[in-house]
Amino acid sequence: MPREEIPPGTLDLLILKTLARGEEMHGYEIARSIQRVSEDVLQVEEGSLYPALQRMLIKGWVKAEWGATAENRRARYYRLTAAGRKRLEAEVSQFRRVVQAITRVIQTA
Amino acid sequence: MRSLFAPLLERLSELGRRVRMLVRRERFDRELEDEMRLHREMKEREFVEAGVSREEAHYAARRRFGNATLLKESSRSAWGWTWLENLAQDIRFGLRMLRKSPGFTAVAVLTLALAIGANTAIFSVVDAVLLRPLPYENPSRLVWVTEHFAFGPSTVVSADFPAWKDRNHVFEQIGAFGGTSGANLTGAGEPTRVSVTNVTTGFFSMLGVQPIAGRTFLADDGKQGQEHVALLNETLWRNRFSADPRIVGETIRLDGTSHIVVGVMPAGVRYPQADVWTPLALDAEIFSPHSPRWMMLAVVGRLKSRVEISQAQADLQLLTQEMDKEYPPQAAQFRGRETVEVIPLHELLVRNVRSLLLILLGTVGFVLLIACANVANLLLSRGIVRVREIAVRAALGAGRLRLVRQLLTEGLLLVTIGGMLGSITGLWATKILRQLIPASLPADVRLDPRIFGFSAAATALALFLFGLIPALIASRTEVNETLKEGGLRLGASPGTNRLRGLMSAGEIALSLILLVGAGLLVRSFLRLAEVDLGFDPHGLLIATAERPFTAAFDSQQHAAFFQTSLDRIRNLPGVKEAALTQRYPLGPPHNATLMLRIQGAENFRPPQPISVTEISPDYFRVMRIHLLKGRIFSDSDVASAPEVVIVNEALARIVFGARDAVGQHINFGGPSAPWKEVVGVVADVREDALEREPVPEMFVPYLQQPSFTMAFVLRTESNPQMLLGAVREAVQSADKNQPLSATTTMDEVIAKSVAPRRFRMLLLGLFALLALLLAVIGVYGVIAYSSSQRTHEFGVRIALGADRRDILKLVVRQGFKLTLVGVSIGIGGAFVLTRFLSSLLYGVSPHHPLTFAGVATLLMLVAFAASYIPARRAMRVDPMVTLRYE
Repeated sequence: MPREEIPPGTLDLLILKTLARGEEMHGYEIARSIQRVSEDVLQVEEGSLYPALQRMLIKGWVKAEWGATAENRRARYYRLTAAGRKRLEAEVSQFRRVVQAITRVIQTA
Repeated sequence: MRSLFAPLLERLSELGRRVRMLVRRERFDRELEDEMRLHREMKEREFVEAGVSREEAHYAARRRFGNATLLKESSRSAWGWTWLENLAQDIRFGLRMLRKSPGFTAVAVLTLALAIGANTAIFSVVDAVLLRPLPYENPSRLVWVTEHFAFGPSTVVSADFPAWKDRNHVFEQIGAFGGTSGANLTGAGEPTRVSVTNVTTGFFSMLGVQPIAGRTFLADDGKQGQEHVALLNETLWRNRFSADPRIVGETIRLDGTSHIVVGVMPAGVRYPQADVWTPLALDAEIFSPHSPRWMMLAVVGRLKSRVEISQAQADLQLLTQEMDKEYPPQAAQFRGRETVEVIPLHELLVRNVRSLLLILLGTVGFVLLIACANVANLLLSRGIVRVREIAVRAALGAGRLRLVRQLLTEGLLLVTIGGMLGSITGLWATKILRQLIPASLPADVRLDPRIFGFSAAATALALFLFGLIPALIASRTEVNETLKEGGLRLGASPGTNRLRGLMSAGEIALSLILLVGAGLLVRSFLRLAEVDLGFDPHGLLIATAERPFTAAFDSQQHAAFFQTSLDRIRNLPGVKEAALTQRYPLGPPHNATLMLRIQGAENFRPPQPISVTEISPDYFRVMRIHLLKGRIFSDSDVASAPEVVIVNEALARIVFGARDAVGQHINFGGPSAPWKEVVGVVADVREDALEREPVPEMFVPYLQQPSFTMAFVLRTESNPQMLLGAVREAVQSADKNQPLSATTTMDEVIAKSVAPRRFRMLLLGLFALLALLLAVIGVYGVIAYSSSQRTHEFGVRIALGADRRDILKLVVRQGFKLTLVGVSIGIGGAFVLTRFLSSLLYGVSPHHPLTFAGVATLLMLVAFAASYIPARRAMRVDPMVTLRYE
């Protein structure tokens, strides 16, 4: 399966959705999770993951706390906030609209 | 409601998070690093589990992360503090660079501090004098009115004033003052001499000045039959009456006459200047055209709204011409051709200093330009030295904007430090410059946002001139070329060198202009010192006794007082000679007359007012004024003897021409006055000012024409000041209520009369020297730098057989060319600009060739020296050493 770059503007959506499943995750887990759920199609670049997480911290969409991994290593765990949940809804519906529109354009070829 | 505020709240909490991050950014960095390390290690394990060798996995994980520093930075930049961190970094780096070259930093900062300080100081005076409005109510509507007659000073004849006041169509209010004189204030404590000015009753309310105690004058104050009233100046009130508010309503005695104090005016009222003001009521005799004596008035008016100055002038001119008809026939001599002038009051008060202040402002502006050019040169030299550092930075990915910003930050640091130092020294220096403010101008140097604004603007200009340009030039570095050159023969581009040369030529030009200006002032001062005073000022003590001027002026009694005092003073130990005079040279203004008549030449009219001075017989001997013809007065020229007069050379020439003055008969007291015989002609004396040509003068024996004010002049054996106490005792033993005023030495009088000129000269000279110093540093810098650049070339030349003297010539010629360009431009500039100095010069043309040539030579010599030092160094280049560096 060839790996795809994540389309621009959707990284936030993917991270938010991943965290929305309720678990707290650290950066590596988020990246893995996206990769796994997308069945290895989407590959998160570390170079964009961490700046994106910082952005979301500023916006207050996620919160971070230090915790320990299963192997007892220090890691920063991210969790969705109420504002983040709202944002996710907005991004999902916006994404849907865009995808539908693009689909229409492609089908009326 | 909530929905309205929600976005705002969100914004606020977002800002809070950003600030928290800024405050704890070190912890933030550490945590980000931890987080990413974990990620990397997990990735590594993932690779290992996929069957990659441990080492491979390590590098693969690292590769995936890419540039860790960059990643960290871009994560951080999300928080929006990058600009601040960059700035902090630039400042830290800049400070480190400045610390590393303390010599450069000190020169640059000092240069800037001096220039900005000078500008701040001069500007604060300009601000106080020229820019700030007068501290009166609606001051822009206040105008000063005067009449110009065919002769003499501009003034308003008191008899014209009532018509102006009652019949004008242009003023809301109009007031006048005049008759400024001294009076002996007696009563409590030591008798004091105070100055008294008469003002019309509405004067202070017209200005809008409120008393700090009591009231100002009421309309009826000063009228005949009313009690005498007076207003005190706050300064007198504090010094003499210990600021006691109960003084209002009390009685003071002025020349023996009781006055009730009705109020105290603030010390800020400097116009009209006086210690005590008394009312000038319009029913006084002086306001009638038929009065035997008029008063010289100064008139101020408040224009009605929408009335122009020219309208006011026309209106008053018409009124004055109507008045001509009301004067008696004797007045026709000077009525009929008078003109009225109206100017803003502010303009009157500052007109003596305006051109001086503008000249000074221009001067310090030049100094600032020179300083900027100089520091720009310094920075450029450093920029060139650092060209390699900059190239390395550019190669490592620093953007041009970032480089400019870094270099600009260094400039900004210099300017800020220099600017702050300069503002502080400048404000301190304003204390000295305060004496530039005219005494009658109610203004003082004040800390004003405008002054700081000006300093900041000067600083910003400096930053722009020498921060930005070098930064732009340096940042244009060609990375490849520079790194290829290997760093040894890195040099400035020809363009940069030309710019630097041009700047130092400009510095030379500007400093030449300032030096020529200062040179002309010095020359004027020297010319003034050479002036033949006409008397010997050394060892002369002067003390003035002003007798109370009362209605019962008993001339015999006063003459007796002066004679007794003079005899006692003569006998004091240490006094060689003593005499009396109504007025001494460079002292208070003359009494002058236009009524001079000559027996046998009835149609004679004097072309200018002629001063009259009452003296005791030995005045000329004490002053060492030469007798040219005839005799001086003797003790037998008393009241009962035939009246005599002595004239000076100027009068003999103007009035009698080729005829012999001695033996002629003149008078000057009106048609019925007795004829006086001219018994002698004395040499001319500089009476008014050193720079003023001698005026025609007459001297009369004080016993034949008594005066109530006389000065004792004493020729002493040693320090004249030591005798002052004894003189006061001698005078007060004749009259215990008689104060002495204007006690001084003649040397002091002369020093004081040239003090403003001296101050101007020193000030301009100081700035010119500063400019010269900066320009020399500039030339030295350019030549030293460019010859150090050419060390390799010189080495090759010497190796190829060039004479070392040729190298010397090569370098010196470069400096010479630069100087020549600067000097030529400077001479042209000075030729155009020095005419603005004309009003400050004495006995020297603004284009005085010797000064121009002298200054040009001086600059050439100094610039030669400045380029000779680096040239010597270049000459000693060892070809082996320089070539080995290849």
